[in-house]
Amino acid sequence: MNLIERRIADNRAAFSDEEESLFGVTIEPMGSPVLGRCQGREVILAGTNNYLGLTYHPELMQAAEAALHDHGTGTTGSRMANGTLPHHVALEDALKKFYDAPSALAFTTGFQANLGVIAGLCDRDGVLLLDADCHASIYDGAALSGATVYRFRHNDVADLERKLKRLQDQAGNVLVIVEGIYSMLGDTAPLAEICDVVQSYGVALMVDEAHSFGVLGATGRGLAQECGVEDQVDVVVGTFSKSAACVGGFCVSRKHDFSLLRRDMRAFVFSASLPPSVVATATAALGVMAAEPERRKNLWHNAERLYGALANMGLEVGPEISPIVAVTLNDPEGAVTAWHGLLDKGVYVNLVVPPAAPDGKSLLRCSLSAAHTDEHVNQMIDAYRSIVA
Amino acid sequence: MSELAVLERDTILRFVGEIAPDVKASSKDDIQDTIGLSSIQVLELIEMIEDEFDILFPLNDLADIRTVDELAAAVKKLRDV
Repeated sequence: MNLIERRIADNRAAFSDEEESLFGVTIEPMGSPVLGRCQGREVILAGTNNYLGLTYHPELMQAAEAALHDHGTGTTGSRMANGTLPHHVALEDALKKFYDAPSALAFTTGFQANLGVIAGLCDRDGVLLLDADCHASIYDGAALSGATVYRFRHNDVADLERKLKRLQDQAGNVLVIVEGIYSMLGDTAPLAEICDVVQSYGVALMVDEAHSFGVLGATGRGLAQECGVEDQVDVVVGTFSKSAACVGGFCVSRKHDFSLLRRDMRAFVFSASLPPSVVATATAALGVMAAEPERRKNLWHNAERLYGALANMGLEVGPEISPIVAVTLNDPEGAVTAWHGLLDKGVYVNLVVPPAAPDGKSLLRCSLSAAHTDEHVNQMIDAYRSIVA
Repeated sequence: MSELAVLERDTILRFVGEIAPDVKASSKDDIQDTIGLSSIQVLELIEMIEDEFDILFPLNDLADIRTVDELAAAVKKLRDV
């Protein structure tokens, strides 16, 4: 058995046919950001991270169509070679304006933004201190960097401070990384307190706002804006694949000129750049986010309704109201049954089973959208009620 | 394993027992393949070790550690710095 055959055999042994079938369920779009067809039935999409519901927004679609028509399907090159079109510069200018920041870089995915920024900032002399619940792309970026990697307990500022105290001699090499909204349970980082600690030890701070961009803050800039600490954050990383309804990643900084660092970011230098249609979509999304703040308001209205209803049913929900409403269940088999039960009632959510979910538990993870109506949320609540009964 | 890492070994075995109470673990066992701790449980174990011994344990070192004895030796080395 060669390496590849052995790896396939290991996975065949580790996962049941049902688990395999649930991995990468196909969703057929139905011309709506929140309706689709899954396993043969029409469903409300409540697990797509489409927070602002912009995937069919006319301005985004027109921008994409025009760029596709005028500039073709792809760039066929990296940003450092032939892959920077005027569209990429316009997107970075729009990001600078949106964030009121002097510096912005666009990457091909959010995952690559984390790889590029972390491995670009840190080398073997670097020290990374990660919140324990950081996304896989942050852990992979950390491993890629060659830096020494430590983690602190999730959202535990006292543990962060304890660890920073031990790293005082290396403060000039330390980068702390947290997220705005954590993707599984939807909880936010205690960012104001984290900033206080980080400032007092004189270390750098990066915030991944993948799930909070467009969702939190007066103008949708994320948790740092919500907490009033934007000027204390060294670099924000985000993605266009959620609230901006396309794909791509970015970093922005109000404190530093990241354009001078881009040649250190291999994911930026050696990846083909985003196609013009996607870049145009992301740029248009920034405009819509600014012009239609009512979307954020409706998103939070929906979040409050669903979170409150599920908590009242006695379900174990996350620690705070969030557009991500995750119900924790104790056994994976029960979670799979409940997931099918929700689907039978016309509601698609994400099923997360061990080891992706911690402590041997499983999650039914719902992500709400501004495009969900009260009726959609009612249907979600009724579906959850049916699996509780 | 150095005999000097006995305290670390015994402490780690106690923590493993708390995380996986149904497993009878020995210090020569592979932490993941034999004892059966998941990657998340290994990180939980590292948190307990960091608290107990007041050290910072680099995640980078985990790549070279398979058994409880190897982990105990690594912890001992960090404590001696």
